[in-house]
Amino acid sequence: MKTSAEPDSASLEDNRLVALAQGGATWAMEELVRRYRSKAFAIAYHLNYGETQEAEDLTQEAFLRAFRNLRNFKGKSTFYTWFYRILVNVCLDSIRRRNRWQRILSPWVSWKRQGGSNMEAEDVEGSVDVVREIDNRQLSKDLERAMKALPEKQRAAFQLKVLHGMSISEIAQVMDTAEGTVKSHLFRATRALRQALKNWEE
Amino acid sequence: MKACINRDEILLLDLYGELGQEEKGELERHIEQCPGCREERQKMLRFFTRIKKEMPPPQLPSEKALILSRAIGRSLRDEEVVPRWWKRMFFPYPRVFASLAAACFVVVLSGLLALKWFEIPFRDSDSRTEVQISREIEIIRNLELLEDFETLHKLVQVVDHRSTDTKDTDVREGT
Repeated sequence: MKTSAEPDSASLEDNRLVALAQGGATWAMEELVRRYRSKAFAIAYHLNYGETQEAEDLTQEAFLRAFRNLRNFKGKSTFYTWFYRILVNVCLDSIRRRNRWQRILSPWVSWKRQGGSNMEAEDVEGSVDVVREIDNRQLSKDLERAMKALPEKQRAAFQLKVLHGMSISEIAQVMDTAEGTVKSHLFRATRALRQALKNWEE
Repeated sequence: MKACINRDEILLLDLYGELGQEEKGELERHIEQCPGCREERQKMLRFFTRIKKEMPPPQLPSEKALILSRAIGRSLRDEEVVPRWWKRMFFPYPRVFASLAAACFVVVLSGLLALKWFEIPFRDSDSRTEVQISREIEIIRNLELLEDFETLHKLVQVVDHRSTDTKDTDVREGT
């Protein structure tokens, strides 16, 4: 239920909401969360190799970090590029942390993966169009492997461009780098992915 | 037929929707005449379509979205309950504290391990010293005892001497 001091939040622009949130208006923060949670979740999901729970946690963490530092937001960029920069940093930090642990626990992880792949093979047996299903799954796996093999910045730039439709200038702001560097990341990532998936090119 | 090498990046920028009107027009004119580039653009287009199909944007179910919003709101309210100045005063650099704690733990652990590894020689030398010290103490005690004995001996001699003297005096006095 809205209070008398709370205007129609959906009609307000981001800048106004941010200013109100900086003043301590909780409803303005809630509106910002409502606006960006789906897109933020999608970005976190792709950057984290499709791990739903992890993506939810990271989205929450990114929002919290953004609101904690809202006073530092001077409005030089749009709120969403500023927020996505926090989100991408939170995701990349999490991946780095996880990779560090995976290197330590690598024997156990590889054993677990073997078990997982067997289970997937069993699941497929019951499907109607087995060959197509296996084909699609194989492509998904190859794509996932190729994505994982990319350096993290190239992967992030590629995903933000191709899967989330951001412009190169927006990606440059989100990744806090020059547009030329983003272009270079995109070219290299595209080349590497096409090379890795050349068997799938019709 | 292969695409023109110098057009590679332009083709990609075109597919990314990043070309200006003029550059796009120029590319279109080129592609009309160049089957290699035309084919390459089709291949790239298929490649991106496939990737988008394989990695669709996930949907955040409405109930999960609500849970997420509530969790964020709750965390922010909790942070208001514990004032930030309090946290800054007592936990200003959590990472630094964590690193220091980890470093201390490593130092203590390595110290314990080192003690464990060098335990036998240390103990050996310690016990040798202890034995030596106890022997020396024993000797000192014995010496003290000897001294006591000597004193006693002298005392006995003195007493004996006195008693003989008294006897002689008695004899001389005819008692």
